[in-house]
Amino acid sequence: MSATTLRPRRPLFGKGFKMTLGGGIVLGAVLLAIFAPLVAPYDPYQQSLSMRMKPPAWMAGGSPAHWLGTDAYGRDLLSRLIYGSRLSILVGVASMLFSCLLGSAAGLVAGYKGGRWEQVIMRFADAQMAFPDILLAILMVAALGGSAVNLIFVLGVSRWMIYARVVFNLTRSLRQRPFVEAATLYGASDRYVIWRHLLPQMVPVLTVVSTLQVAQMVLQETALSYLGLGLPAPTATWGNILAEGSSRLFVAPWIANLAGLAIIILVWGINMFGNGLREHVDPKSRLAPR
Amino acid sequence: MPTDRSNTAPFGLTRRALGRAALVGGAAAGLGLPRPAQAAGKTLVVGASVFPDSLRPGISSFASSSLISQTNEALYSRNNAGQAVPGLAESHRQLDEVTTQFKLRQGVKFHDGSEFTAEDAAYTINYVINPANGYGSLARIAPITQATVVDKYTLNLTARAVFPTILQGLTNIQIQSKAYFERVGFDGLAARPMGTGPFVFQRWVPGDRYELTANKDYWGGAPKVDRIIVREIPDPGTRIASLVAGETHIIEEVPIDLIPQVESSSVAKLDEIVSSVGLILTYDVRVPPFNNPKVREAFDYAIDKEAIRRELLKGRGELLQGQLLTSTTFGFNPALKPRPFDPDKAKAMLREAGFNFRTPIPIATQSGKYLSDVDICNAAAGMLSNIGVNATVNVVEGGVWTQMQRAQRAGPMYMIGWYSLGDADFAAVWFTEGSRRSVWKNDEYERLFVEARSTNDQEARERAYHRMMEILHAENPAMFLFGLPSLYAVNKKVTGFGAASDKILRLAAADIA
Amino acid sequence: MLAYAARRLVILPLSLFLVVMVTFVVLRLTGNPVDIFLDVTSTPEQVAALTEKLHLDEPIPVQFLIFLRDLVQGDFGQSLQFNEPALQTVLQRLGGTLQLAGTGLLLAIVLGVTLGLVCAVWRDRLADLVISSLAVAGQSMPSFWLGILLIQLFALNLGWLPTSGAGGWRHIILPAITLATILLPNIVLITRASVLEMSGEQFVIAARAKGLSRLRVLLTHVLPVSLNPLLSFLGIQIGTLMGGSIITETIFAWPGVGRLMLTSISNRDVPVVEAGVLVIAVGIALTNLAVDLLQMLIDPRIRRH
Repeated sequence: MSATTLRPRRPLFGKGFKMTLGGGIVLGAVLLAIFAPLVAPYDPYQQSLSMRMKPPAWMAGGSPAHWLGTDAYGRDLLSRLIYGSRLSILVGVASMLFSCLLGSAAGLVAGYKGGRWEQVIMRFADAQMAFPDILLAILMVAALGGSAVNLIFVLGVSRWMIYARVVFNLTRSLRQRPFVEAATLYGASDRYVIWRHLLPQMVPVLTVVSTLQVAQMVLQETALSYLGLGLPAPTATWGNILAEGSSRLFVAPWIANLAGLAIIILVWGINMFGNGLREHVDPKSRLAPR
Repeated sequence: MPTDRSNTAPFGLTRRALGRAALVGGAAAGLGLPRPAQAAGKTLVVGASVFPDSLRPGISSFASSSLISQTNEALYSRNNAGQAVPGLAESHRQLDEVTTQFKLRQGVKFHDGSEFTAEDAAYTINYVINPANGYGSLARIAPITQATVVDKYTLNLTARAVFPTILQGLTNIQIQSKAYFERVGFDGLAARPMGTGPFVFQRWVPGDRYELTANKDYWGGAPKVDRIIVREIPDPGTRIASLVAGETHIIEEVPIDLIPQVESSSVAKLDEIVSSVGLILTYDVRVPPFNNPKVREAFDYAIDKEAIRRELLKGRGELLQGQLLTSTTFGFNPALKPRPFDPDKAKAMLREAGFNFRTPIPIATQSGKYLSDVDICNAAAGMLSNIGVNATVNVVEGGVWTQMQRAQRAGPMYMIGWYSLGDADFAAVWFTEGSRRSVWKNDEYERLFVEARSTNDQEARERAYHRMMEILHAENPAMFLFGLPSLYAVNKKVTGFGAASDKILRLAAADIA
Repeated sequence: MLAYAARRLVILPLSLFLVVMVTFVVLRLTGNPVDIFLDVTSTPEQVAALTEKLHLDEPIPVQFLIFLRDLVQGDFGQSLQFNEPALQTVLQRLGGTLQLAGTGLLLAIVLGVTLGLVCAVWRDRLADLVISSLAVAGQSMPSFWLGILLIQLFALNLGWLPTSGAGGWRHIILPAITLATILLPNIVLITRASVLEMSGEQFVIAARAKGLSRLRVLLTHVLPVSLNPLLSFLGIQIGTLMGGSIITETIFAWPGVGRLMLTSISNRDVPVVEAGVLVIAVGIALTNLAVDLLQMLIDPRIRRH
């Protein structure tokens, strides 16, 4: 014990709190997404040109008929936000899964096989890291067009390097470990070693990284939508709603504000959950950010 | 025993220390930034929505013409209402059926001091009509075969056939100085435009701004302002904000929804004019479902156009009367009426025609090219959805759009607007085979179009156009939506400026009080 | 250390080659530049002439080889949009982006490190909780939304700052803030964590034991090494900064490379896109290298690796 050792205090926002609050938000969003048809008061695609840009119920000119007001085509904002959670979550999770699979596979091969595999794969990863990922996404969406599948593909491809790096480092360090050497000595095949020994070790870290990446994917989708490269209208994604609202900020600020709020809350929830998870997995990292 | 320091700030850091650090950091951030050049005299700042990519003359986009026409003028100019008025030519007369003689204005000087003569006009026009030169707006004066100098201020233009809209066509061709053109070449014209216009080229920063100074010796009278800066501000919200904040004096393309922002400000007001554009939704009539004329007609009943005009355009513009032309265009057929909104009838007709409701119908459109284009498409798609059609909106970028158009593969429906500039010929051409923009073919329409184009008898022309509009109405190669207004917003202190129906900025008489 | 730098520089061309090739193929496959250069009213002769001039009638691998051949001589070709050398177009705008990114980065670092220090120093107290929470919230926010809100508030409602464009120092404030907020939250959190971690290290304890003041130890021992993770982070995030610049430049009509990339991609102006991509990639790679070297300088422990 020395004079400047910082004795850890029991923090106010411990990992438990973070995971609970964050997890709660995420769970809430997922439930909302699943039960959207039951919860949403209106059809999110139902236009009503005479009810355009009505303010939310608590503002002058608003009414309880539309709690959060209407958008530029008279569609109920609350319903659109609820349905929007579906696509935001779907695109976020699917693209994360895609990039996780792609990146982990690449990292595994690079780390396990080493040699030329390592050179090629990791150089490729480095090359892509050097590229602003949104530029890559713009390039690809401009080429392929904006559909859910394309978007998931594009977002997934833009981020696989993160997983590759993590898995690569882990694989390399784990491969040196005694238990792996022992298994190889006993004649275990590569696949067995990877499956039974390496992957389980990686699951905690991967889970943390994946969780935090979902948040990033959601944000990327909103950015692409703002640039007009997301899912086509009239699809209700939070990114689309935010983009629509951004051009009418003066006359109907609630559209962008509420969509922005929805995005912030969900992403914040995911980040909190992820951070809490990371502290749980690696207590030392309580002090470190993502 | 180690003291429990966990309750105190471990390093006794004072607020002062942090404050000092912040000051240093903040000062560092302010270094090395450009200062704007201060100019004396009046500077008029215009906020444009889209810039041309270069100052290359002859690109038939209005964004391009708008900037180039500040420095270079045409023989006949268009005014804000879209009519051809004398420009560098004072008058014209027909020598025979195919030859027109122009008397040119005397005493006009180019910005480099040299005098404008028929040589310059002839050189420019002969350059334009030569297909090897790749001049973009060649099509506007395509019938002309030869420009000949008669004397210093007289020019003859010979066409291969009667060219009734020769004046309108000429309004798109900006005249260059022959000597300058020969010296710097075509690329030189783009790098540094030089002409007879009211303003002199100063500086061009692509994607940012275009700076001009006044031509004090302009034949039409020196401009009232000393400098013009046209800035590109693509985001409409930012553009409006710049006007309200006093950074710009004039802005183009005011989105309808942001009009309240303009009108509620004390510094700016709206300036509006009917433009000659007919906004339509064009069908691909080669493939199902739109190869069936009954389907096309049914779709016409499905859209509540008046509601869109009322709500999205806030009652501005006009409803196209079941035809391509706006009501002020020569050739407009007053006997035609738009089909009423009748969704039940539309649905019944579609069922009767065997329409497959599950077919995806993406409506392709650019964004921000026409007023409220995306909004109108969205509203139309919504109305189609209401009768069970699987309609979506596909917003495409400029490059992809052009590719789709050139290949004539723009999807089952796409939105486009055709300017008539006051005469049916200019807009009606786009439904002829020769335009390479129409997949719909009708022999009678073609025949009438050629007839109308080959005679100077205005009554005969009008009859032909009336019949052509009837054909369009009956066959529905497109859904005819709206004549759009052209919306500008200006600072209240600006005088001498008016909204233009063809999106060209006319600033020679503009002044800031 | 020189050897390390040299090795890194040698690998550079491979990465760049990959980037250039992928960009080229994607652009060529999905859009014909002739359509942009000539508008739709052009004649078939004009189209044919330009197609030949741009070698668009050749198969794509051949086109790429021609492109490479010119590239090696430093010729990116003419910009199809602006009709000037593509590299010139890019470099012209690069200054604007560097200005914006540089200011934003500086702002983010200065503010972020300061706030991070505050958090570490008053760990788990109110200041820390508030700032850290805001930081996490800041990570969750779409940057362009903030940008538009800033315009509304500061330019429109209060009229303190200009709404758009480049000009004097006042024009750069809002765009720089918007850009800075992309990195700020992470810088705060990383600094905080770093400082806290480092303060428990042996050499720090040793310094304190030697009797140096707390402030002195913080600023001269802890802070420099705490910057290491920060530098790593920044190295990785240069790409993100560039991406954020694209959006920020669009919102604020700031003349920079980001906006140029957007319009050039949609217009399939391959020379400009290639030039821009290459310039950006080279810049990022060099920055990463510089960051690595800087790290080695600052933290003696890394040098041994």
